[in-house]
Amino acid sequence: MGIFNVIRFELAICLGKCALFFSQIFRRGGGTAVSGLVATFIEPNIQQQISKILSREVIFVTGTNGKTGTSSFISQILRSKVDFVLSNSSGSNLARGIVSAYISSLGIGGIFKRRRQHIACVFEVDEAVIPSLSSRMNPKVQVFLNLSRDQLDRYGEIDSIASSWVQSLSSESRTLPDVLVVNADDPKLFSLIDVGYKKSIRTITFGLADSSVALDDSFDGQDRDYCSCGSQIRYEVKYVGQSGVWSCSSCDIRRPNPDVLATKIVLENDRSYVEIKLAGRSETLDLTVHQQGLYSVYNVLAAISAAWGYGIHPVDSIHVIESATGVFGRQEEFLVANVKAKIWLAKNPQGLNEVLRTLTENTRSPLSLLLVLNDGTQDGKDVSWIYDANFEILDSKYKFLVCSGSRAHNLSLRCLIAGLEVVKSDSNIMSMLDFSLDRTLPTETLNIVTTYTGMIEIREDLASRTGVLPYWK
Amino acid sequence: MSQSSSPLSLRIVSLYEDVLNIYSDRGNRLAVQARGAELGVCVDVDLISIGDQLPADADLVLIGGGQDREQEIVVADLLTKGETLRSWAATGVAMLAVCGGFQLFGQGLRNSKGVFLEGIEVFDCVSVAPTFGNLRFVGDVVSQSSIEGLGMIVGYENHAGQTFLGASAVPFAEIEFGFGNNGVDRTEGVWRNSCIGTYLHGSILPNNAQLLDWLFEKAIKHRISRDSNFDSLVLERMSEYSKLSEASEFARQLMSTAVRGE
Repeated sequence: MGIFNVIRFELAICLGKCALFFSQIFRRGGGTAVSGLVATFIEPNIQQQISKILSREVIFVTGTNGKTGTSSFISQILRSKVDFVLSNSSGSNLARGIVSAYISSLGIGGIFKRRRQHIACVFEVDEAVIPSLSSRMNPKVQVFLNLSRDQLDRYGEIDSIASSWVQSLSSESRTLPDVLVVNADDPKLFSLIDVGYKKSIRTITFGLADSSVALDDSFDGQDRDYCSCGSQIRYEVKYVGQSGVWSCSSCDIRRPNPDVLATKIVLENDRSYVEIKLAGRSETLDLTVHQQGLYSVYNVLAAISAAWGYGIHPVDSIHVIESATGVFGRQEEFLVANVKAKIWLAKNPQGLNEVLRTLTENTRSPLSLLLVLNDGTQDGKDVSWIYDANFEILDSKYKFLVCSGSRAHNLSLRCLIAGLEVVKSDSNIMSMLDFSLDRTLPTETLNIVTTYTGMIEIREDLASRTGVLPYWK
Repeated sequence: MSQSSSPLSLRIVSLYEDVLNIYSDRGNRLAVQARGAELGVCVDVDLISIGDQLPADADLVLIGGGQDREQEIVVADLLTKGETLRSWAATGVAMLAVCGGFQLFGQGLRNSKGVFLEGIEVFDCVSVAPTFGNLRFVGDVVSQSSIEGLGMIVGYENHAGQTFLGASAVPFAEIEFGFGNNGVDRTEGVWRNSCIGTYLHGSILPNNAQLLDWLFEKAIKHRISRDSNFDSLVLERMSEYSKLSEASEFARQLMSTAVRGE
């Protein structure tokens, strides 16, 4: 690096730091992306420079659902082994958010200090950004969780995302990752496993083997999946969305035997018990996850696999997972004047289906529900996806149902078509939150199921009422 | 996948819902079922996919949109059903074909890989997707229907294929906001008899109850033409107060207001 470049780099970091400072003071944008934007403006090659400093200690996590939860688990595992773990834990997962995370991690004296510590990085990366960012930052481990419909207004078609991932791993011009971690149960990701094997990249797969948690097949909105040979994918059992034990109906492609396999799963009201078997070993590992839902189990398996790829054995990961703290806005609970409010993030059909399934399967009493649908840029401008989600599953499972968000009118119409009774619907989120809290008895929980920007707004309000810190502090 | 049938029920065929459903067009089928429930009309749904036989008769046919690959998957099977669907269209069966399904109900589509997919010619139109670049027509749509009484139609479009209507074809709507068939001639979709082709998702029927009722009425009339014992009073009940129509109308107005920036 020439002296001019060094100065420009340090200037970019300093001004980025200033931007972060001011955005926090004025609470604009939560400060999670603007500093990266400023720094990248001054030094366009900042990602490559940061990645040089981090010397390939980088883990990328991507997929339609579970990025933030999985990254959080990985960060907590790594924190038990290395001096410092850098992550974009606030969920700003575009390129600028990653630069911002780096900048915000630096203290006043950090400019010098950062070169001496053993730093590991866990970044969740947006599905569409993976190809360009991985060629610039050369991650050591790349984690692929799942792929399903999300924000088609931005991404176009799912198939183009899948092929861009495969292409980025087939590229000759980049340094390939040392390790790939891939969900074996999702047939849309099989081509990544295939590339891993062909390129001799160490590939760690994860999956489930417990039919007691199989998906109920009564939902008629499930899509067929097709193998690259053109034939239909068949399932022995489906667990979540299109993930399950699958095989092609004509060629010999089938789900690979997962290296990290959950052989027994018990889902409970506030936790899940999981028994894990590692490939080539006879003994099993047992753990308790303090989160609900089968999708959380997938996140745990992905995190254990990623840490293993990084060099931390699953045995050492387990106790960290058991005591892991949750992620903001995802199954996060607040106690508001004796009423428990719990936030569930759901921003695409598969995510929403899993949240609704978790709520209806594990809750004994009728649900108090506030559903929020926004159409901000971060939510997706198009809301037609609600017709892909299984609202019908709520039938006779709820005590009351309130709709809100900028597209409350579309949401309440969706509920009506599902035969559900909406007690109140209004675009004003705060008034619907108050209304819903008022209707919830002290012994009950108000479950708030919301898209991204609604989650941010509600979380900020509940946090200020209950004294919990906003997520960017 | 045929479900139980009642002699006095409306028969709906939903084509390839498990393949052509990238944009949740199953919402159209859900809306028809919900309206049927509201009117006390029994609605039998046949989910017909690849390899399944069409029933002997139907009153309403629905097909949705899919990606290039999914269109390639269904095209051969759809061609085997083409003759039946064309004769149905000519004899008053109501149809709604959306996006990818609309393209395949025309003369055909040359997709972004340059592959020509032959259509079943229910509609006189042809579609072409650009083979380079990534031009897509994406966004909210507000349009005015050419069908009397339907007025404003709102929806969401996301397509690479551009559709051009034949000389005799009538567009379903005129674009007020958005791109429509090809981004040039301001036409949106196509209308022939009781059949409509459109690019609009949303899903379109839940958000446009007047169109839902137009198709529902056509389907009922076709049902009556098959069997005069069918309860024709349903047609009168359709003008009564409907909770579904009210909620839909509310959504339609708010959506158009948001798009027009009023």
